[in-house]
Amino acid sequence: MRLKNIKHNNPVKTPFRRKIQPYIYLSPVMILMSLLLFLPIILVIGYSFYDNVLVTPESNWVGLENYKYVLSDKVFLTSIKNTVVFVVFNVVFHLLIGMTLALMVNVKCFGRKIKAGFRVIYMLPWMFNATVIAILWKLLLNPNGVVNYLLMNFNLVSGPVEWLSERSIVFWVLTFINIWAGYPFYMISILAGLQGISSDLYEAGQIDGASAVQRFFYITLPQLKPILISIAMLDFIWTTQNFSLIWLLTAGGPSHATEMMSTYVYKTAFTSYQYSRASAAAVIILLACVVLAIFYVKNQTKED
Amino acid sequence: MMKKVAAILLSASLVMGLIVGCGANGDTSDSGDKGSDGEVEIEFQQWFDNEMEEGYLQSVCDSFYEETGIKVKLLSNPYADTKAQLQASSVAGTMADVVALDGSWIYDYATQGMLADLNALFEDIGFDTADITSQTSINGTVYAQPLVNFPCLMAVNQDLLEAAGVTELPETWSEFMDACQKVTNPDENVYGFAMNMSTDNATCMEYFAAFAWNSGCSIIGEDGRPFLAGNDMWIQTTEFFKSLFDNGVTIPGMYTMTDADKVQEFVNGRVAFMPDSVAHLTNIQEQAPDMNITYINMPHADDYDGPSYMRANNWACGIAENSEHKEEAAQFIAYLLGADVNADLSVHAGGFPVNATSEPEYTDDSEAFQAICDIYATTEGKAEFYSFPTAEALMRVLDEDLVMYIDGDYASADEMMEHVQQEFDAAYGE
Amino acid sequence: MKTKLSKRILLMAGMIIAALFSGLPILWLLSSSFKSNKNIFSVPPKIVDETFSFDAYIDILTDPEKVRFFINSYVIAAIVVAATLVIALLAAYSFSRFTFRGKKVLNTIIISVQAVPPITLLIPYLVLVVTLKIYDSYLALILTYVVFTLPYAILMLTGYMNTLPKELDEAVLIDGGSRFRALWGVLVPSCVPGLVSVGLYTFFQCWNEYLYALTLTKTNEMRTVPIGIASLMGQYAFEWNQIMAMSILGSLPVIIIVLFFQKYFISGMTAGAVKS
Repeated sequence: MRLKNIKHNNPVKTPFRRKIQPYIYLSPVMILMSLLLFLPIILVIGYSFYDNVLVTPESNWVGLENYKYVLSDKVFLTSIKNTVVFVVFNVVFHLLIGMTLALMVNVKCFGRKIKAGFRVIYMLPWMFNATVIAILWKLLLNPNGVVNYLLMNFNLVSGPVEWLSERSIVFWVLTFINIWAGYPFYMISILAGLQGISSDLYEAGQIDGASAVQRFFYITLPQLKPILISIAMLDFIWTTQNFSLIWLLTAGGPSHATEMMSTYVYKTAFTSYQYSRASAAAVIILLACVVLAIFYVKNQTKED
Repeated sequence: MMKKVAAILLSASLVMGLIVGCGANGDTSDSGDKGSDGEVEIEFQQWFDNEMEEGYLQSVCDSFYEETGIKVKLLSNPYADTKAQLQASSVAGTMADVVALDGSWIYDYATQGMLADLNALFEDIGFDTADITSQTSINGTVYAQPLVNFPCLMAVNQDLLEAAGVTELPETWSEFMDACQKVTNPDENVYGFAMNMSTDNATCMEYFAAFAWNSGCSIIGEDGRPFLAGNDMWIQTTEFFKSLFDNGVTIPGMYTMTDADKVQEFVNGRVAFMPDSVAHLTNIQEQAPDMNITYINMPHADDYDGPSYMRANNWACGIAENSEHKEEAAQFIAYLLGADVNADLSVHAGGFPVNATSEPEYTDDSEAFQAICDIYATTEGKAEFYSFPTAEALMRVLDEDLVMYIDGDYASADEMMEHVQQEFDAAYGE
Repeated sequence: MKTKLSKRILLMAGMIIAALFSGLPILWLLSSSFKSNKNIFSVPPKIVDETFSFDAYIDILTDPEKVRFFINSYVIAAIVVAATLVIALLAAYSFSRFTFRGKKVLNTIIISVQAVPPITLLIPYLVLVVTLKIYDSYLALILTYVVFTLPYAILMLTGYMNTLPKELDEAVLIDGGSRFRALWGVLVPSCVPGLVSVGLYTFFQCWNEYLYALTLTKTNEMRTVPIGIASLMGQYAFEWNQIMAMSILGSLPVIIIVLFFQKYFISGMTAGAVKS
């Protein structure tokens, strides 16, 4: 394809130099990542095959024992279920809200300053770190907090709701908070993507008499597709790892109602001192995400 | 072509250089543990500094320096951060020389070989521990030295009791339940009882256990292992605890309430009773200066008339096995244990000295503090979970199952404790 | 481009509802930062009450230790953003404009390595940092954040470059320009919206990261804002108003930066690049 083009125009290049070129561009990344990311990951994979490590004088090879243990642990299975539901809801709602808001602030019928103001307001939740978000929502959702006060004042609920400790709702409350905290990232990415779409396409669409809805489905969505897939997949991975917010709000409780894989790994490693089991659980998470990544890359290269 | 390659490599190395350059700046500001004239500097990692008057702990370190020429660098962080740092640094071998230890960590760090034998070190430096009233030993070796004791008792908002017509402070479970029921008034947002149950710090289960301990119950069996299932008084305590919820006297949100949330509710006058460390007292007095506060011991079973027990807690510290200045570290701990220093430290921390010859001069003459002193003088402390491996993880299991039992997921307290017992036994491996 | 009035009103209503959704909690945060600590939970809740003051802000800004946290956070974040963007651009260029052996594999690896929960990597990572003798330094944090933000940056920029027509930079090559010029002279300016969003993301990651900032440093001279905020949460008492004030102070410069960079979103510079 394009490489062939270039070959014609740069006949002086030797094949070897051309071959090595992409690797040179990649070298800084590869050097940094192999030292600081691959090495620790390899260590973690290694840990997962021993009975225990780091805190014991000697470690014995136990093969897949840790995996067997973790996969038969009810709490881990609960945490997988919770994580999957949590992640799916987050990704879907992040995408919907992010897309809606991006389209809203991208319309041409309001003044720039108005739009800019709204954009900044929409981005606000993103500008505070997890610690603050946790504290803020604890404050709001306290049984004596503002939310209950308002709901009770308007007679929407009869008594204070225990948002963060009622086992039947706490999971959804947590999901809501995380959706609230995460959608601005989508909005910005989609907005950046929208700005990148050539206005020619819309003009052409208009000439062909396409309605706004048709333009959205036939121009905007296909153009945004690579970005949407990327951010959805990244969000999937990040939400899977989400720890701080959950830990500070509920610590996985009450009674595992909000237990996620990340809190499970943390508890196993740092309060039970079972680093090998924690590593095994981590490797399982890693494998799941690798499968996802492979799927993504395949999908991406198909499009090329 | 070569130019391009060179340019890319150059820009990459520029970035690396930028990074390394900044790192070097960072490194130079770290003076290391030897001063310019060969002085020894030891590090003291703790959360105590954050809990006391600003600058006080530093002033103690300064006087220690004047006396011995040993510098102490304070690494101060809140409790939760100190915990996270210790967990990581213990494994990486970067533990500070002297580290603060919570009761629930000691067993694990000691058995993992992270902590040094304190009495051996005290012997080396010629420090006599005869006057020291408490030391924490694991399998016969002392790994942690308490500095200040804090009993954990039940804080009482007497204004609420008075308003509800409760004149006698409750001593038994029935009296306690009765008082709670009289106080509780959901329309006014007032409840009888609040206790932190969030598993972010599962040591809250010691408060739960204190109901049983003060009723003469022990959860350590004859073999030194946990004894929960089939432990009569323990089961009764569990049932009593559930009845607090069933009767609606507990404050909403208890399942995920943290220690700080609980104190906040108390300070705002929404709860009459809360089991709490007396270390909070100064803070509560500051935030609610007009509240009429006192302390009682945890209520005991109605028919119990044996000796009283309370939940013991303390600020303890140990010496890291990886320390290169163990003797200096031991000297520092010995200094903190000296009669006068320990007395002064206790006064500033609002706790009780561990040196029997210390004579602290408390300035707090409130009724609340007097009540604490009276109970402390006559009551024996207990902290039985801390002799179990992975104490916090075990308490978390208890906490989680307790919530399920209260919510009705278990048919009986016996059935629930059977399950908890299994989990506790599993901590011993085999 | 005239839109019907009814449509505009509907749209405006939607925008306001959305603004309430995202803004109200933050408004509460702001309002709490002006209250006295003991009034934070008072009933009935008020947006502004009689204890309104700037005390919490003054307390923070006059405490040199806390000001140092801010400086540290900004220095680290600025370097990380610069480093991540440069390294990621090079990699994205390679992924977007070349076909080469191992591309798929490398791409998969880069995407999936970030899937490991950072908590599990903490221990081996800490050991590594201690071995490299960069424990308790800026470098430790900078390297960490660069490595952790690179996969996203690469992925995003590759995606972004893929949306740019290949004729754009190939034109430079055809005219006899170097690949380097094609990248820096043509692709980079066209990538600005992508760079801005990646830069912002990177910035927030550094700004908010807590666990590694806590464990890779030990002295207050190296600490960042999240640790500073956490230090206001004692074992026994929370300085609610100061926590709120510190997070507002931390975010204020970011909000200003965002306002400034909005222009780049709006100008939509990629749209006309090919035509001219």
